[in-house]
Amino acid sequence: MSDTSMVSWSLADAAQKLDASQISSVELTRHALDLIKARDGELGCFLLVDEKGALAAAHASDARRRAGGALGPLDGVPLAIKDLIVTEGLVTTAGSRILEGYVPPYDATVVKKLKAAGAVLLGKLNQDEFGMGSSNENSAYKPCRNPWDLTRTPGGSSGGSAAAVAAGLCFGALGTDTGGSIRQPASFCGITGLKPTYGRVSRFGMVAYASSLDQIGPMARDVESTAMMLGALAGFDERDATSVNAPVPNYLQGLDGDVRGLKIGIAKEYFGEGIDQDVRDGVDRAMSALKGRGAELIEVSLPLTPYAIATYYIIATAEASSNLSRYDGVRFGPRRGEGEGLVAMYEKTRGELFGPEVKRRIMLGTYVLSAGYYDAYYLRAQKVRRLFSEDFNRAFEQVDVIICPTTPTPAFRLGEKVSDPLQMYLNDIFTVSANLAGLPAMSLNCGFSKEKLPIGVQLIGKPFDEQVILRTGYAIEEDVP
Amino acid sequence: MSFSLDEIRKLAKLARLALAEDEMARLQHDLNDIVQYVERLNAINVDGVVPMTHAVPVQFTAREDEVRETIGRAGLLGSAGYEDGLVKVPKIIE
Repeated sequence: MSDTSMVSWSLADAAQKLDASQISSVELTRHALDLIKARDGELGCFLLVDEKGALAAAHASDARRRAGGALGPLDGVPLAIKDLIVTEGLVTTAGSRILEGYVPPYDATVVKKLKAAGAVLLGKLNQDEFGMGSSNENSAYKPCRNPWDLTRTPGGSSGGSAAAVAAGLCFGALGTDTGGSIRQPASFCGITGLKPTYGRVSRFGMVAYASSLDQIGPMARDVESTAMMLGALAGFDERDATSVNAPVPNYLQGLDGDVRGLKIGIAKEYFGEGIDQDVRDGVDRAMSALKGRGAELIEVSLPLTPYAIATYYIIATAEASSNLSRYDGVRFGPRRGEGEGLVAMYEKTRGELFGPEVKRRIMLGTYVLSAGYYDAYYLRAQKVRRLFSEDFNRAFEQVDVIICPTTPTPAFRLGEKVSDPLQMYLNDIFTVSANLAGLPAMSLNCGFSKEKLPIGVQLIGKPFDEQVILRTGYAIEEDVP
Repeated sequence: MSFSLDEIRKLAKLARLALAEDEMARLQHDLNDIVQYVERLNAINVDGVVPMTHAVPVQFTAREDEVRETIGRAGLLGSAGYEDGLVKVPKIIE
């Protein structure tokens, strides 16, 4: 059976039809695999497709359902995983040549959890190398394109995840977000992407970029689907020392469009110069929708916003230079300069197999941590980070959730910013603050630009209050087509 | 702060990166731009502020020392390249 309408289904639609026995997991999986074959040549979302493993998982899921023992709503739903997350027996490259051919001997906790929930895993998704980038152009393997306009970037670093979900190649995907890498591509591709509170979802098995900022999160077509995935992913993991032992609520509860009395914060610093008029209009539509439903809009201030990018790029690159020191040609992946001496082997392996952006960030990180500069850059940035967190705490004394654009503009063109790293970094202006403060934040679609490109609105919540973000997002979704 | 090519060379050495001359020149240009940009943090008064290292308070706890299932030898060595049950690595002691 081939149902052409399947491509428009959300994860929640697929789950509901599986539950009602209107379709089988094998049918859904074959549909996804066929679509990948037909479309991924031009889109470039997948670095690896595990057809055999996916079909085996789909057959097993159908057998469970027939026996009346479905494992939950995700049982049998085809999903895909960003390549920064390790998968047992499946090559995991993090988008880098330095991990080419690396086969992890274990699953990340999030992968284990999805498998335990019965999900079908289709394969590994394209990304910027080690999560470093905002356009997916830093993938060492191939570019990824935006399904809404093939001349444009899907965003990054979880570009493959966002494009695959938007094009219907999978019903949901895992992304990772260190400075906006889930939310920015979600915005560019017109889908929903949630970066959970730091510690809400285990990072065990995520290839580390900047450990104090990294988070794994769900990406899907709509808020309900995102909530379903988050429910499967969240929770304490003894293997991640930074994961937090807090109860996991039912994220589907309260998705009813009722936001009466909810206090929505508008930070004036997020609506300054340089924001595209279409983006402004989109966010206005979302705000009017909430107001129309009885929410209260309140102005708040986050005065440090102009310093977010500077703080982020010091902390993230410092942590990256330390985390990426493990790639030395000895323990992982290919090796260069063997037999030329130890230091030459390290230097050649790293020099040849890391891409330009990764080298740039390692160099910057090495500099800000080096003797004589540590206090002036790294330590100062950590202090400013504290001030960021305190700014948010003050704002959240007045409001339940903060609303703002996800990015200043819709998706830019491939090649447009690639030669100017600083311009590329500035694209993250509205997303990095949530990582610095460890707060949950979600991007969802709020309409389209005149050029028919998706526009994202971002909701930032209090720590461990993903529920309010989802509830608010659901209400926006009801009114903004 | 403005980087000379020699300083870039020194940083590359510290970071264990073999770079071609044109890469160094490129990095000199990019790092000068970026560092000039991040120096805007100097405008913020951080006197007495406690540095923030983690987004949430991290408490390290010990678990019981008990025998558990772990990844088998074949799995662990699968990516390493090994012969006769031994991991094969390049010479790392000079």
